[in-house]
Amino acid sequence: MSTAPASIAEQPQTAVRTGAELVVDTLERLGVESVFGYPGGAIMPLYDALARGKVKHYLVRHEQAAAFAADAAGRVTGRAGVCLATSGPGATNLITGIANAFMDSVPLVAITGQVPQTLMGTDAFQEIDIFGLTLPIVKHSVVIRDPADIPAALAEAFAIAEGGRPGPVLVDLPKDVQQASCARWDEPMEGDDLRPSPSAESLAEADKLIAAAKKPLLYLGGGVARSNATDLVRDISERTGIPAVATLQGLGVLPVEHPNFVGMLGMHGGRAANTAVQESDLLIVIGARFDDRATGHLASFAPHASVVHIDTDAAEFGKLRHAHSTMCGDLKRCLRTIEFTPGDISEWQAETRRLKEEHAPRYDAPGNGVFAPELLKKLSERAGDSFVAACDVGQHQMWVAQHCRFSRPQAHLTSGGLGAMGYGLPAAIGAKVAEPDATVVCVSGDGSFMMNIQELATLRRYNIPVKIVLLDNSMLGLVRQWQELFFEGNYSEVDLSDNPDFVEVANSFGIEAFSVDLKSQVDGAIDRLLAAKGPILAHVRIDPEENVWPLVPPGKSNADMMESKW
Amino acid sequence: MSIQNIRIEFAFAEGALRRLLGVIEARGWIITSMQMGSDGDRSIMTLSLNPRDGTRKIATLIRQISRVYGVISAAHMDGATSFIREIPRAAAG
Ligand SMILES: Cc1ncc(C[n+]2csc(CCOP(=O)(O)OP(=O)(O)O)c2C)c(N)n1
Ligand SMILES: [Mg+2]
Repeated sequence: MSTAPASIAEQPQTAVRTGAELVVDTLERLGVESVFGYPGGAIMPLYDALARGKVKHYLVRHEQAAAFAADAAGRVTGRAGVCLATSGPGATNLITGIANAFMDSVPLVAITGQVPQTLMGTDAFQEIDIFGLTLPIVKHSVVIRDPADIPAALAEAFAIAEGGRPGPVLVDLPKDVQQASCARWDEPMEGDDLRPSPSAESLAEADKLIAAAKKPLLYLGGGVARSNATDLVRDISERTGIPAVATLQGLGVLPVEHPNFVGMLGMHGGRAANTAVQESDLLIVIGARFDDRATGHLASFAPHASVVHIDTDAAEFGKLRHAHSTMCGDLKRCLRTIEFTPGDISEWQAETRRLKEEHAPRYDAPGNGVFAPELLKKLSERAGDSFVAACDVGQHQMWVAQHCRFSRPQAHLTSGGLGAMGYGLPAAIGAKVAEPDATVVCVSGDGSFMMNIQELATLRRYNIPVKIVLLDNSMLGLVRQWQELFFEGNYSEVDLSDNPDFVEVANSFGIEAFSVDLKSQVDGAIDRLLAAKGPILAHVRIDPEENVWPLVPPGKSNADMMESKW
Repeated sequence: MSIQNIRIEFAFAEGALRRLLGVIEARGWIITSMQMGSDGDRSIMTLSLNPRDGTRKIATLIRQISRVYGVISAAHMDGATSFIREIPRAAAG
């Protein structure tokens, strides 16, 4: 509801425009430079207008990839990414990507073609009620029924997608609305900034709790990145010395080497972070929602802690964990009003630093094979502050989270809430388009990669220099790990040993590729990846039986972590 | 499980009713009765809801309804735990 107005350039109403032209005009006025999409019958008028406009269109090879690429662009820039699809199957193919943006609060505008209004409701060819289908996974949606509404409705869609707690907005455009001519249209109106300010009582309570705490902990979530509050949180951490843990989406707010950063909490979090949370007497939760992957068994989560909860979305307060003080509003505004004057926490600081040192990850894995955590750590460190990881879902995703160094939270693109395999490659494309100077690395698994492998054609077509690290364990590794640990080794449908030759596949798309089999080849592989000027794929064979450690078994307390045997 | 009564005011807009009913059901509440009317440019709906299990909190649901774009106010009508969030009219359109 708290929408910050999207700024829009003026457009004189001098000529007659079609609805489709008004869409393109408005995108340009809103500063949209690139969109990702796939054409079809019901959106052809818009494609006709696009070809004559200034917005750059990236033709993907599956609409899901358009949505994922737009999602990644939204995460990197904070501005809504845009994806386009035709009605029916084009629109339904967007759904996973829209859900992904919804679950991770990412600004996204999805524009779908629709059959002409007179045919809506008649089961016309490629008519699908995409508005109805996506209702539970959008922040808002609209069917534009009059071309005169297009500029205002589109500007509003961007304002809603980007404002407050960001999210996806669906704009359904019937074909007749795209084709209709329009001589006068409603101009977008400046919206009011409706974000509430924190109340004096909640502020006083937060200040009191922070001053009294012996073991305070900053608990950083994805909201920090979405609110662009990273610098402020770093400042607070440095000024106060309060130790910090991060959720999957909060990684990078403090770089891993920062002395106040204890680590990632949760199911695949570190023992140091999970222990610190269990011992803490005050969690200062900033832009996080107590996801079950972070908290483990909720009733035994942080048993001694009071909670100060700061978020742009009041609906998160008390949803899963009671908060003693809540503050709703723009995160930066909230954070600036809190005093953050803890008492003497030197013992606690020493304790969290000791925990971090004691439980630092080990990289001395036995054998000559590639140890993926070591490869990922080295690669991220060598790429430096320009490193951006776009991951798929599985063991490799958790290794990225555990072992990579991120200079900022926008450098870690991961499908957190939805956990959608197939995100990595399209997300890497979206990120590299949005931030051409970044060193964008797609870290994928052999299962996930096959879900959007067709996007190698997009990489090639636009020569987008994404670096792909394909960690191939010939397995749906994370599922195999759970079957080993929680289903008595009954391996059911996880074997992928009949994978294609990924180097040949990449080559056939016109992409440079090479294989890595041994630990001793890792440094050379990183050199080659970083030196490549165009897209490149490293096919890395790893042990099919490797597991991700540590692990909190599902439904267990974060205090009950399972660790590696070596 | 006790029945909870709520009242929602929202702006007329395509899909607004489906959106609200969807939020209520998806968040774990069974709609046992519903009345609806209108007042000028807004619809007013009162509903009786039954939680699916003991973990559902009406205050949380009210906040989840309040953030739906187009909702003008949402209130729990049962006394002590009443919640209301007035959203300025301009924003509801
Ligand atoms: C679209 C989708 N389908 C199924 C799953 C369930 N799932 C989670 S991880 C995983 C295995 C992923 O395998 P791979 O990409 O090879 O990664 P690995 O775990 O081997 O590193 C599966 C099937 C999912 N997350 N997303
Ligand atoms: Mg695999």
